Amino acid sequence: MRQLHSLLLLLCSLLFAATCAASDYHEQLLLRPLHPSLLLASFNFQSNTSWASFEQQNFRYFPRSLGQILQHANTRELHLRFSLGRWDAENWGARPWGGSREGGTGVELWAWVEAETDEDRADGRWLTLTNALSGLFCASLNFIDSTRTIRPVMSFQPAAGHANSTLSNLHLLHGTLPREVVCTENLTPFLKLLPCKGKAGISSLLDGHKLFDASWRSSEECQLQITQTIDMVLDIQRSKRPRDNPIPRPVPNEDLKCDTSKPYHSDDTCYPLDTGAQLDDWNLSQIFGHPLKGACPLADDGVDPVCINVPHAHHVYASGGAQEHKDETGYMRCFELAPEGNFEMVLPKQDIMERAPLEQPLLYAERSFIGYGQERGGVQAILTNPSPSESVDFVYMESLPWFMKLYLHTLKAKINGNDEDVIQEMYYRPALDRKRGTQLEVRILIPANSTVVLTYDFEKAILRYTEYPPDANRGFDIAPAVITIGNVSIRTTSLLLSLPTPDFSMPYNVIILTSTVMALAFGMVFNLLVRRFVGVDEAEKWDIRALRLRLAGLIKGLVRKFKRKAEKTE
Amino acid sequence: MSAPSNSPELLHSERKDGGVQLEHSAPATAVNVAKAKKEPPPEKPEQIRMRSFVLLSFWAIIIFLGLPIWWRTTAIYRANLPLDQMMDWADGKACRPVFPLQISIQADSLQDNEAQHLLRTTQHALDDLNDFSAHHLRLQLSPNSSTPDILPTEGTDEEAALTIRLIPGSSMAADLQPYSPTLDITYTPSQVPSSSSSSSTLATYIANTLRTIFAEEQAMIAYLLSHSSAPPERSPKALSPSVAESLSKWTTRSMKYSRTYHLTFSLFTPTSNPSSWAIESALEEYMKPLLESFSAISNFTIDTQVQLYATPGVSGSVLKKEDLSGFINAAEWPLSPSIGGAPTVNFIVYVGDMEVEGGGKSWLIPQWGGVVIQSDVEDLRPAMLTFSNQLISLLGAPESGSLPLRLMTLVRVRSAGLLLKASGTLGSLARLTLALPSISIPRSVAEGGKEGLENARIAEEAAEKAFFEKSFVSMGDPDWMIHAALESIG
Repeated sequence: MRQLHSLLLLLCSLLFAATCAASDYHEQLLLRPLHPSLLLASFNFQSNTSWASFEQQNFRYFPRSLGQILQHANTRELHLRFSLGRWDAENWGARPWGGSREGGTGVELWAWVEAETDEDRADGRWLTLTNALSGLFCASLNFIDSTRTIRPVMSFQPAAGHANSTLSNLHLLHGTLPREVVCTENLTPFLKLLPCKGKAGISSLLDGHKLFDASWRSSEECQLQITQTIDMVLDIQRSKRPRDNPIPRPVPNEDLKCDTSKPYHSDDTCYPLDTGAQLDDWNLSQIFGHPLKGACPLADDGVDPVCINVPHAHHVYASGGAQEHKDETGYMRCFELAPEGNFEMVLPKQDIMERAPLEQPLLYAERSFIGYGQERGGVQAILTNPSPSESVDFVYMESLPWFMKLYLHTLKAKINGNDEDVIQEMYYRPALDRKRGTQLEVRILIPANSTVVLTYDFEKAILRYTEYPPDANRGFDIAPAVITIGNVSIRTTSLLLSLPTPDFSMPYNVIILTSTVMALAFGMVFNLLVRRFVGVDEAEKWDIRALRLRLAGLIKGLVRKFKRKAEKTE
Repeated sequence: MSAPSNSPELLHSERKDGGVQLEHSAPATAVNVAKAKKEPPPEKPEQIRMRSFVLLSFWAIIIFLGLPIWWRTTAIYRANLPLDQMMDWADGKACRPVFPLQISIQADSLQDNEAQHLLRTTQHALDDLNDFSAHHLRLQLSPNSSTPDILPTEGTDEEAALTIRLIPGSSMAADLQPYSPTLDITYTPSQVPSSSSSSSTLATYIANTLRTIFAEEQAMIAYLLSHSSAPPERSPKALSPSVAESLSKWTTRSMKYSRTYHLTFSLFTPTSNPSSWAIESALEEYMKPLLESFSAISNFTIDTQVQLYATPGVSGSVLKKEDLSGFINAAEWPLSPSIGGAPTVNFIVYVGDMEVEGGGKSWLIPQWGGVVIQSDVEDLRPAMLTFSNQLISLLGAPESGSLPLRLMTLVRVRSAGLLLKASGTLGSLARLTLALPSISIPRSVAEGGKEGLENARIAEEAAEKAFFEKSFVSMGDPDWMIHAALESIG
């Protein structure tokens, strides 16, 4: 399943309150080979502004367009995530940034909205916010309505730094759009929010690449921060294909890597060698299409803009002017860029087996549909704690659409196949038809080295026929479940729920059929009432034969005339 | 069902006997056959009556039930609009904008009767000069400033648009105070009109000065009136072409009135330098005082931004006049309109060495904002002063006169403009509904229209007051209301 070559995750980290007045900006690109042919590129951009200049609306690094929206909607903290694809935790290890900058497939948005009074006020501001962001990011965020919005209780925590007085007025709202497809039109507005706008610095590598996610947070004390992150997993072979001619072609004979130890090896017979053990060679311009266009002059000097996570034994060549810094762990090196000129980094082909170790994820999560038929179904989530010694305490959150009616009494958690009480706490808010979706939050403790299987059943509602999307038979996307383990979060994949779909032409068929039946019945009755019945020989006759004869005579006359005319002209 | 199925057979069998002859003979034979036909038995009268009833009831149902139902269900809903009243407003019959301005004269140095006489003669001279009845100046004697306690309340309800202070001096001169609505006129004692003469040089001089001061305002109001649908007899005499042209530029330039404006100050640089500017202090020093003086008319919110690596829409170091409209790179520069209802006024400082053809470095974009090109941002004072001027003219203030007078003129012109615009919109709505009989008029439009009229009435009253008062807010309503009503028509 690692066919999904690009995966985007995003998160924000709050570097807390260094100086109150300073605004600053830094950016970093972290490259991490995941697998011989896959490379994870994590772009991280972070700008701070002081609370005072935010209040006065003097924007320097912080984008004005976003700042205005946040102020208009009284939003204190905002997380917006766009994602595509699936993270393969089995092979790629833990998620970048601990999953805290990742969103569920499609769009995920959550925000802390300040509203002194009631929930309606917060809902109104949430609506303003989604509509404004929808315009800013060219995404269908305005479709996040009350049926797709929940108010999580246990899963999300606001960033530190909100004053207690504000905290009590904050409303957390969470919305998902699992169906939204992320594409380059979302990337362009994302780049516009950056101070260097893709013209310099690591953002110059981002052109038309696939995913992004932005999150924002503020703190009342003195700092306000926007963190924009793009994580993508690139297939090196695929990226290296020439831009103008991207169709894959078979490897020429002479370039095939063959196992020469095979007895049948000859000029025309080849047993392909497992190239998995060998690192592909690549360089930055092959992967991204062009080299990095110099450092962004606004970025702080303290942070090296490009880092790569490979063992120190590997050779990495960088273009002149860049300074290399290796860290003590032995697996990370960073480059300080020269202010002018392009930066290029080359990893030559090398036979070094050592790899940077992959971090083991805290939990493996998998979710799928079970059951059969058009009426009922079930969901099964398999949660595995791989650690041999540590138990994991987490919150599993589901936001289900209203037409997927959950039977709470069927919610069961089995641990290693046995019924055991692992559910510690549960928060459930039932759905209301066409008004709001189901919200389910479950706190579970998994002992070390165990697997919990969480199942529940649901009923598929029958929708009104206008409520189906245009391609109703494709099914409905169900938002990923969010698993929160402290600061780490994991999202499952989204699911595709097929509902019983009606025959959409049925209303027309019914109209046509009933009209026909009514016309027939009425016509017959009406005829019976107004017609007079007489004997056959008494009826007035209509002589078809005479009419036919007359018509034939007329046609003959015409033909004769025409012929005569034709003769004359000749 | 049996009759139709039998008839082909019957026709067929009948032909069998004489088939061959008939083929070739004339159709006359067929007529013979028809003549030989048997007559059906006569019908009973009640059968005929019954058939007529059936037919009658069939058509009765169609005509009396079917047609009305069809008519009702397919009719377009048209709510009743107070069309007459709306047209009255549009034609200026419901409301005649009149602008009588109070000018108070302080003549402490003159005797009471002398002052009264001067007032009368000056008023007379003014009336002779004025040919536009909708806008006229009315003089009054202000209470003697040396005895301010005698009538402390007099004159407070109608604030004077201008105060003339008469100061004895050696020569005749007029001096408009730059920061207060006061005109100082010095005169020589010999020019004071004697009580017998009907005119004097001083009175004529005052009248002429006043007329010069208010000429622009009068022209503006005249222009607005002449472009409204008011009846022609109330329109002023034709304006001279040059004045009309400058006034039409004035209308295209100035922004639509709003209660709140967003001001956005942006720094655009083509490179990464400079990445910061001292905008806070510059705004505090040069912008805030001006905005405070405008606070009676509109509120302002301010935001600023710095945008690096911004390339303008045109290149070259000398910008041609026709390039200026393309200078703003709307696709790439984040000058998105503000969210919320208020319009945004953009002020842009572009760091570069460009120059407009002819040497200028700044220009105004009508109804949008202003641009200043500077090579560095060390000193923001010139840019801020340019922006101040651009803001004043974007808001539609007249170009000459002292600042308080310009502001008061702006209030009056804005109220007149809004009143005329609201009336015009009401009229358009009325004409639209008359011109398009097939358009549906939802109830909300009717309500909006009625509310608009209601507000217009209030606005008229408020406007009457507002012409003399500094606080002026209620005028936004009718305009807004009718726009809402029009929008709901779609």
